[in-house]
Amino acid sequence: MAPAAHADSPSSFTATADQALSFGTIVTSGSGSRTVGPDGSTTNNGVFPLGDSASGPAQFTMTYTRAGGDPHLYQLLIQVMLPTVSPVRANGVQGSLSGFTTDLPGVPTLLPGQAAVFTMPNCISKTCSITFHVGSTLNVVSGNTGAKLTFPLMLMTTVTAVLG
Amino acid sequence: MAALRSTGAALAIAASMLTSAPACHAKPSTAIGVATATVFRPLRVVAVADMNFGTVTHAAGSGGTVTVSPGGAGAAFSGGASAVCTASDCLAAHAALFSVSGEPQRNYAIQLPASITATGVATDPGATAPPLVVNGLTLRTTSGTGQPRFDASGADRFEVGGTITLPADLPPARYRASFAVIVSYS
Repeated sequence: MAPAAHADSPSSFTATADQALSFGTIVTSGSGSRTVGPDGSTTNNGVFPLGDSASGPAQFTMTYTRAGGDPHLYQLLIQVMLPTVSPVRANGVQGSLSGFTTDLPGVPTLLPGQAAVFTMPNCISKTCSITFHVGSTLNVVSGNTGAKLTFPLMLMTTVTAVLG
Repeated sequence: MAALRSTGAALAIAASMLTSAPACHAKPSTAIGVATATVFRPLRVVAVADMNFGTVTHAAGSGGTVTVSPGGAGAAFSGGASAVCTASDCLAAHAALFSVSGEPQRNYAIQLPASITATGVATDPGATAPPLVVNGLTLRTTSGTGQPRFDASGADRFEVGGTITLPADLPPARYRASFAVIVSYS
């Protein structure tokens, strides 16, 4: 009888961007702002949304897969950081993002360039994950022109501790 | 003795945590998403030409109507109404003309009032000019008679016509009215 072969896989951690943060289609005469909350709520100041394109928060998922054969209950300390998002200018329209908010428990806001720590409790299954949303405020200045604005939204995540 | 027992308990808990926690060796992960927004050109409407019914009269004791239509110079008359003009003067009557700009290749909507009330000032001292109503407003855009739409440069124009009704006992007067058109993205 041949002995069984065992190879425990190492733990892994991934963050994925599931859904873009969309401010929809807006019209402004001069300048204004539109805020999309992590719950999808919107507020407008000096801009008028058009109904032909949906708005919504960004959605991210962080997944931790534990090393094979590890049966313990963990809580994970995860560091989340949003790098500075540069303003965008296109066809005479200038836009910038500010006021990043999330529905990640314990992390109501994300300040660009500053790390926030999220605790993922009760991780006992092979794979533990959390899906959360990020909202923001778009500040726009426009002349008599229109444009499509696209901002890269990067989220850097690290598991800083695994507590047993 | 009590202090020593406390310290021992704390050390025992710490030891338990260290032995049950795995090494944290999961690599950092970066998710790259995007934020998007589409900003449309603001709408602008400019009144290029007023709606003008010209100089008209009516037969004694008989009312009538005067109609100006988009796309046509001059006015059409009914009842006892007629033009007071000669030759090319008769083409002075015309529909209102507006130019509008917005997002290229984008549909928009035009909203007109149901009717317009014109107020008059009688030219004869002591006479009173009753208000007159312009109704039956008609619309035609450069982009066509269907859904208004901006061209590739984001421009369009539209005309607004209407019919003014003259009562039989109307005294000589000069009439003027203003009306609002509402343009919106659709």
